Amino acid sequence: MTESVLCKLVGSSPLSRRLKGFCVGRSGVSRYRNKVSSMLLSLGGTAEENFRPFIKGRYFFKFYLLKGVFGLRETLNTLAENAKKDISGAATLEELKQIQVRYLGKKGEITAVLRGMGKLPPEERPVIGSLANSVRDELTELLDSREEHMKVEARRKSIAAEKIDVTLPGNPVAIGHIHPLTLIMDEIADIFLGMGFTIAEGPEIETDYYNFEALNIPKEHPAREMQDSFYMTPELLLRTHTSPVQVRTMEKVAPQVPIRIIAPGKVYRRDDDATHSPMFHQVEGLVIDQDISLSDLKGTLLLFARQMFGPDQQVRLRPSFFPFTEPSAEVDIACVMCSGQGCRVCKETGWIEILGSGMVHPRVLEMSGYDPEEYTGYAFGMGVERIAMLKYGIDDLRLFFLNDVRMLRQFR
Amino acid sequence: MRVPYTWLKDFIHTDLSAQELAELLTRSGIEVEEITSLRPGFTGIIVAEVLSIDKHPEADKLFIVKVYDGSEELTIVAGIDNMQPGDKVPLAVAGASLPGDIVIKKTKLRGVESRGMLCSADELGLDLNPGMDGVLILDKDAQVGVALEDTLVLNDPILILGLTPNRADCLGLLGVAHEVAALTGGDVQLPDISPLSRKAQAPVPRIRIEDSSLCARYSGLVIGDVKIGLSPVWMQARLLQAGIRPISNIVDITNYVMWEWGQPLHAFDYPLLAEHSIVVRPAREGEELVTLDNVKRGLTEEMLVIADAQNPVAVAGVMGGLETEITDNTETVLLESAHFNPVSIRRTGRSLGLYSEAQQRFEKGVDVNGCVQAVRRAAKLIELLGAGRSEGDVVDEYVAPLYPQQIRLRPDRARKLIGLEISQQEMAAIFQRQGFSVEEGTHLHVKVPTSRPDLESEVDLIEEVARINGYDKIATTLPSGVITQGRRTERQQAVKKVRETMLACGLTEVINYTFVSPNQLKKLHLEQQNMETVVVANPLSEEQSVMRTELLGGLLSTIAYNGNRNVHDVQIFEMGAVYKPYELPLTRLPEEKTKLGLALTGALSAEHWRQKPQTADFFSLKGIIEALLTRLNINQAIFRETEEPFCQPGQAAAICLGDERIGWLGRIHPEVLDAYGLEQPVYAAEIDMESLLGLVRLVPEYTMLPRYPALLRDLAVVVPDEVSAIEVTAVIYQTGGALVSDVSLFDLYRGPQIPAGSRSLAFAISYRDPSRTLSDEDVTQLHQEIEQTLQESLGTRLRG
Repeated sequence: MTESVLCKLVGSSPLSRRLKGFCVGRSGVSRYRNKVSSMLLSLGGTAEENFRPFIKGRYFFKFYLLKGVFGLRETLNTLAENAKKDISGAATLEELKQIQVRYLGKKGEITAVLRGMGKLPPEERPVIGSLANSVRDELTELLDSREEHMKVEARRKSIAAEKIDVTLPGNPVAIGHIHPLTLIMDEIADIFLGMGFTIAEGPEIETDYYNFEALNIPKEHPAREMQDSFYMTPELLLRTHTSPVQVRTMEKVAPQVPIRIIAPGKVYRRDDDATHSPMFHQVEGLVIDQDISLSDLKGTLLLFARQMFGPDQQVRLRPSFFPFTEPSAEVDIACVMCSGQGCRVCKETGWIEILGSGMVHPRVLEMSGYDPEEYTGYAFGMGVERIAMLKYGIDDLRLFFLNDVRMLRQFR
Repeated sequence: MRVPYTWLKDFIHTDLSAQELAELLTRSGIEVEEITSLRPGFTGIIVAEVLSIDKHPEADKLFIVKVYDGSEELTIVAGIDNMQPGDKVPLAVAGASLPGDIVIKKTKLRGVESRGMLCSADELGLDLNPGMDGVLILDKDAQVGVALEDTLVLNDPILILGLTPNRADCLGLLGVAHEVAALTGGDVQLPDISPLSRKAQAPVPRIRIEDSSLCARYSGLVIGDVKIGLSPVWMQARLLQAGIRPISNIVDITNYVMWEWGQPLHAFDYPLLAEHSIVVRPAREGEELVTLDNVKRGLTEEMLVIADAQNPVAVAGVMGGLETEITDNTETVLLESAHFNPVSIRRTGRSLGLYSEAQQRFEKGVDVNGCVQAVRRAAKLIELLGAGRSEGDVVDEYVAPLYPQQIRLRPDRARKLIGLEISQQEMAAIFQRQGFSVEEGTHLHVKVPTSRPDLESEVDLIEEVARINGYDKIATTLPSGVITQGRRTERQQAVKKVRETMLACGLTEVINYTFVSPNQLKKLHLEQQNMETVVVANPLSEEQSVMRTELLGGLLSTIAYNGNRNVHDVQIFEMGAVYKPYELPLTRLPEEKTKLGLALTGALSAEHWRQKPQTADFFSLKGIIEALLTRLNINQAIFRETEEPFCQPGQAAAICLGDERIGWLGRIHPEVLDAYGLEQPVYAAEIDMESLLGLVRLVPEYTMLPRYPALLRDLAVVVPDEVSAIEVTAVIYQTGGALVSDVSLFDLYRGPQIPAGSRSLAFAISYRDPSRTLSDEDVTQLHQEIEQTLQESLGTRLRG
C-alpha cells in the first residue's frame, strides 16, 4: 500500500507557494509522514491527508526527504528575505507592527517554523533551530531599528511641522511702573540706609512751631518769604520743607545720640511756574552726635553723590544761608549732563546745585533739647524732583504731576 | 542786586576780571546768578564835537551842523538844533546801525549832503536825559572819536547777585566791596563823607520820632540853592546799569547813593513841610496820602508815616507823597536818611501792595550807623554836580543807638565744628581784612560792625572763617561714633511691599496734587455726606483749595487726562495721604491717613495677535486686591456687598477684616463718570493703609507639607441668586470641618437647564486629614453631609 500525503498548502507566503504542489510520502515511509506534515504545518500551511497513488519512485522519496530538510532552511531564508523586504517597504509604524505580527507574532510564520521544530529529526533541530533563532533575531533587530528610524523620522517631521515665526510678539504680560519720584526716593533711602540712617516721617500739615519757630525762623523773619506758604489757619500750614521732621525727631529722642535719619516726603510752597510746583518732594537728613563737623557733612554728601550719580562724582560746597543751620552750604555736583564741561543745564558753570545743608544751628539744638556745647550735628535737604530731572534727563518739572502714563511707563 | 563792575572798582582795587570776581563771590556765598551788561542796540556810534550850526538854506526845519569826529570835519543835516558849538554828541556815520535794524547811509537833503546822523537818546534806545527831546548832549569831558558805548561804559559787565536774606549789607556796592576785600585783601576806598562845614541859612528841621522801636534813627539834611536839572550822563548811565531810571539830578543822586551805601534816601521839597517839621509816627485812622504814583491811599494805624507838623507826607520807607515831591521849581530840599523797623515796613508794603528798591532794603535791614555817612555822601555829590549846597550839617535824631558787638570766638571750637586745621592768626586775619577789630588771647574777640547783623554769635563767626577761608579747603570725613543700623521699619517695609505688589499686578503709580477743587466732592456724590474738609486759606486757585478726602478724585482725573491723550487702557494706583479735620474750625493738626487707591479701565493688556485682551471689570480688580492681601499674609479679609455714593449699585463691595471695614472696591457710578467726562467703565478701590499695615505679617509662617494625600470631589449645586457664593463656601467649610482643606469655585453656569433666579456653582473640594489617609467612604459620607446641609440651610439643590 502506498501511502501518500498530499499537502494542500494554504497561505500565500513565497515559501509556501514554492512548496505548493509537492507531494510527500509513499507507502513504507509513513514514519516520515507526520514529520513532513508537521513541517509543512510549521511553515504555516495545513496538511491534509489524501490517498492517491504516487507516481515517482524511491529516488524521489529520498529526494523529497532531502528536499524537506533543505526546504526548511530555504523557507527560513526566503521568509527572512521577504520579511526584510516587507520591513524596508513599511511606511508606517502600524505596517511595521503588522509585519512583526505576521512573521514573529505568536502565530507568525517564523514562529510556526520554530514551533514545528519538534517534528524534525533530533540531529536537524539544532541546525534549523539556530537558523530560525538568528533569523528571528535579525528580523527583530531590523524591526527595532526600522521602528527607531521611523520614530526619529516621525519626530523630525512633527518638529518640522511645528516650526514657528519666532519673531512674532510674545503673549502680553501686564507690568506695572513705579513713579520716577518714588524710584528716586527709594534710591536715596537705600543709599542712606546703607550708611546707618533710618527713615523718619512726619505730617504734611504742620504747626507754625515745627515748620518755622523751632527751626529758628521766628515770625517776620525774612526767610519766611523764601518759602511762601499755604496756610490753613495762622498756626497751621502745609509744611514748606521736610525740616519739621528734624525737630520732631530730636524732641522724641533728646538727649540721646546719635541721631541719623532721613525724612522723605511731600512739601508745599506757594509757587507755580515752569520751574516750581506748589507740591513737590524733599528728602531731609539729620545727624546729631558728639563731634560732628562740616567735613563730615561734606564726606557724607560726597559718598551720596557718588552712589547716586556715579563713582567719579565731585561735590562742591558753597556758603549759603538757612536760618536753621550755621554754617550753611549749598551743595553742587559736577554737571551730569556735560560732566562738568559746561552746558546749558549748568549755565556753563560745570556745576549743578542739588541740595542745601549745614551744621544744625545751636539755637535749633537747644530748642529741641540738645546742649549745643556738647552735641553738634548736620542737616541737609534735597529736592527729589531736581534729582529725578538730572538723573533721568527730564526737562519739565510739571510732568511729574500730570501723570501721563506714556511718560510713567518709561520708568521700569 | 546789580553790581556794575567798573562802579564797584571805585571802592576796591582788583585785578580780577568780572568772571573771576563772580566765581570768587559765588564760592564765598554771595551767589552771582548771572553776568550781564546793558548791551546797547546800536553799533558804530562815536562821540563828535559840534563845531557850528547853521540854518539849511533850502529848508526851514533843517539845520546844517558841522561836527568833528576826531579825525575830520563832517557835515550833517539835522532836524533840530538843541545843541551848541562845543557840545559832545553821538554821531552815527554811514554804516552805523541803530536799534530796530536801522542802518545809516549818506543822504542828500535838499541839495546838502549829510554824512550821517546826530542821535537822540530815544533813537539810541537809551533811557537817558528824560524829558529832553533832540540830540543827546553828552558830558563835556566825553572824548571825541571814542565809541559811544565805551564813553558810557555800556558794555561794562554787571554782576547780578542772588543774595540770601542775611546779607542785606551787599545791597550796597560798598558792602560788596568789603566782601571782595575780605576775599582778596586790599582796602576799601570810601568816598568823601567828611562833615559839612557850611553855615545854615535855611531853618533847621525839627525832627521827632514818636516810637523808637519803629524808627531808630532819622537824619535830615537841608540842601539849599537847588537847581533841578538833569544829572550828568555818566551818572545816568550808571543808574541804568543798576536798573534805575534816571529822573533828575537830586532824585538820581539819592538813588545813586542808595546803590553805593545800601541806604535809601528820600528828598522832600523842604518849604512844603509844615513848620519845617518831621514827625515819624504811626498813621492815624482815617488819614490819607496821595503817593508819588498819584494814588490816594488810605492809611491805618499799622502804617508808619513821615508827617510834617500836620499831615503825613510819606509812607515811611515805602513811598513818598506827591505833594512834597521834588519838582522843577524846588529850591530847598530836605534829604532823609533813616532807619525803620523792617517788620513794620514789610507789613505796610504788603498792605499797600508796594515793593520798591528802598522798601526792599529797609525790610532786609540797613545799617543804622550808616545813615549820616550816606546823606553826607549825597550832599557832596550834589555840590559836585552843582545841584545845590548843604545848609549846615546833618540833623541827626538817633533814638535807639546800636553799637558794634564784641563776640568771642574759640579757635578750637571753630576747628572742630568745621573739621579744618586753621591757625588762630589766619582766623584773625579773615576778620581784620574786613575791617573788624580783633583782640587776640586764648580766644579771639571780634568786634563786629552793625553793618553785619548776620554775625551775632560765635557760630556765625565760625561760618565766616569757613566761608572766607573757602569751603573747598574743608576735607571730607565721615561721622565716627557708634555704628547704627539702617533699616526700614516694619511699616515702611510693608509700604514698600504694597507698592511692589501693585507693580507685579501691572499697575502704574501716579502722584496727584493733594489739594483739589471743592467741586470734587460734588462730582463724587459726596456732598450729601456733609464731608468736612481741610481748607487752604490762601490757595493759588480755587482748583487747589481743599485738601483731598479720598484718592478717587485724583485717579479719575488722571484717567480723564490720559483719555484726552488717547490712552484709554489705564491701570493705576496711588499711595498718599488724605486729610480730615477732627473739628472745625481747625484748632489742631487734622487727621492724615495714608490710603492706597487703585483704578482700572479698558483693556488690561495690549492688543495681541493670539488673544483678545481682558477688559477691566470688578473681578479683575478684586483679584488684585486679593493678591495684595495674600502677599501681605492677611487671610481673614471678607468682601461684603455695600453701597458707596460714587459706586454703581450692585457692583460695590466693602473690604472687611472682621468687623473693621478697611476699604471698598467697585464700579464707578455712571453719573460720576459723566462728571469727569469719562465714557468707559472704571473700577476703583481705596484701602486704608493704616488698618492694613497693622495686620501685615512680614515674616511668612511655614506649615509642614501634608503627609497624606488629599481627595478631590466636585460639587455642583444650583443656588438661588439671593444666596452669595461666599455663603455656600462658608457652609462647606463649616460642615466639612477640619477635613476640608480647600474649596475652590471652578464654574458658574446659568442656562436653560437651570431654573431662572438661580445659577449653578461648581466647587472643587479638597478633603484631607493631616493624620491619616482618608478612605473613599469617609469622604463620600462627608461630601453627602455637605450636600445635605447646603440644601437645608441655603435651599440649594444638587445639579443632576
